Amino acid sequence: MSVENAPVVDVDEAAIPVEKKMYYRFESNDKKEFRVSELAIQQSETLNRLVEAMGYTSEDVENKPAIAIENIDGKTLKLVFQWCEHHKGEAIPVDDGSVPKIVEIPEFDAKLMDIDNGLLFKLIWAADYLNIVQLLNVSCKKVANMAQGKTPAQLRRVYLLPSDEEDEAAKRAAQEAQDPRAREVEEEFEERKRQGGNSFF
Amino acid sequence: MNSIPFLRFPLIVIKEVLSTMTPFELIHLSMVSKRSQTIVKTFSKPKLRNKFNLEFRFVNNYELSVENERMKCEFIFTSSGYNEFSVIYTDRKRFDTIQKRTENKFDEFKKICIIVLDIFESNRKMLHYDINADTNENRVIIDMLKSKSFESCHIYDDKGNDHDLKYLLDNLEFSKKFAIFSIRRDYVPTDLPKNVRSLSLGNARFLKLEQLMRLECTRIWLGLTNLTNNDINVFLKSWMSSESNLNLEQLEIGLLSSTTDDILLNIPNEFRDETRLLPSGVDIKRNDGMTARIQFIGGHTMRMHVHSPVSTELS
Repeated sequence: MSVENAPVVDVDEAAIPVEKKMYYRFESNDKKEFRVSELAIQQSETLNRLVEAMGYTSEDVENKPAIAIENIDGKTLKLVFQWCEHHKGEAIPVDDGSVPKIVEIPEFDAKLMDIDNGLLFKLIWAADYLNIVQLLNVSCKKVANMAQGKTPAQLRRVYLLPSDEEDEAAKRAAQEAQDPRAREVEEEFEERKRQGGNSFF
Repeated sequence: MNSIPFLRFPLIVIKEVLSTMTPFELIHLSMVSKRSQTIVKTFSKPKLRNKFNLEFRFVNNYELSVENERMKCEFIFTSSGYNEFSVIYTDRKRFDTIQKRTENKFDEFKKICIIVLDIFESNRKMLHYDINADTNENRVIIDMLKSKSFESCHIYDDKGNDHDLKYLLDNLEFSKKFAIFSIRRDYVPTDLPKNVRSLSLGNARFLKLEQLMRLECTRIWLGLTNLTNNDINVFLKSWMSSESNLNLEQLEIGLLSSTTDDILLNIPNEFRDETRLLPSGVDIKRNDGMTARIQFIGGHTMRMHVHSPVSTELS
């Protein structure tokens, strides 16, 4: 099934009815509404527990407000639910302890994640927040794949990792923010050391 | 370059990303900064402990490989080759190799070695060492590996460098297998490592009968020896009366003499045909019931397989 045909319904955009079975309505933090099948919801441990706890009937789903997911935007949530619908009914994977962990990215997932890194970053946060194990696996694997064949210098740029000097500078800045006198004391200490004084006082 | 802010991910995501990385990727990530090294150590080290074999090879090039049943990642530092990076897949395994040409093999190797020893903590360490390859570097290499225990060690010594060899034997530990391949006739190692299960000496001409009888290894291979047929006769009688080499399971000795008749002089023995587990040869018995199958090969080698009579009958 292609990404475009995944049975996620964005109510604002297209009111195509999903199969006649239990579904739920969710709303993103930018007020986009989605209908998602009960089976697809089971891919997310967080949402599955939530809907179980709410005990909604089909009427409740229609009559009550959509369940708000306040820290995920519509664009990201659409990807999440597309993924869940495509993989509905699949078993939640269990770590078999292999090292390195074996994760294959299926073609559908690869296409779904053919997005800019900003959106990928949000997708991973969402997968973690909603506890969607396999989506987290494949999206993390995509991030790990960015390291393939890279030197340490290239990795620094790919993962935006600060150098030791930058980390030190950030640490000093944080200390100074807490104690503005710290730098003055440090400079005075260095000056006295240069002058050969053994005692600070 | 396509980038993503790795450190802004939740910790569980960072851990997940690291869990799918190959040894090369983890090592290179550790080399980016102190913080990245701490992150790799914190999240990956517990999962990696004893999951990989580590092989250190100081022969012409300095090589280090991290290997398990699914992949082998190998660093090669060479002063004469080319810079290369390759990934080869076979049916069951992936082979990643980085070869780096450098004028300073040791410094480059050390950087990687320290990280590998730290992250991929493993009891399964193997050492291949040509003690004459870079004689000026022997001390610094041994110091770098100091106090590490190697499961298996192969030493090559074709010129004689007793001083450095003694330093190596004094400072490194060996747990299972120890082998020295030397062609020098006067070769005399200082102290053979104790407690190894398997001992292989290409040139064992220095070895006296008393030393042989003190060895507690389960497997012994002696390529060239100065042991006489009478020495071997005494050794076999000592073994039969449980006075020496009680742990011995397999022995191979290069014979000094080409006639073997007197080796079994005054030793009760019985010819046995080949079985599934043992070659044909003569059986001699120890006073506790254990049996050894003795086999002479080409008049210049004696093999001894210790076995219980039950295992022979079963076969």
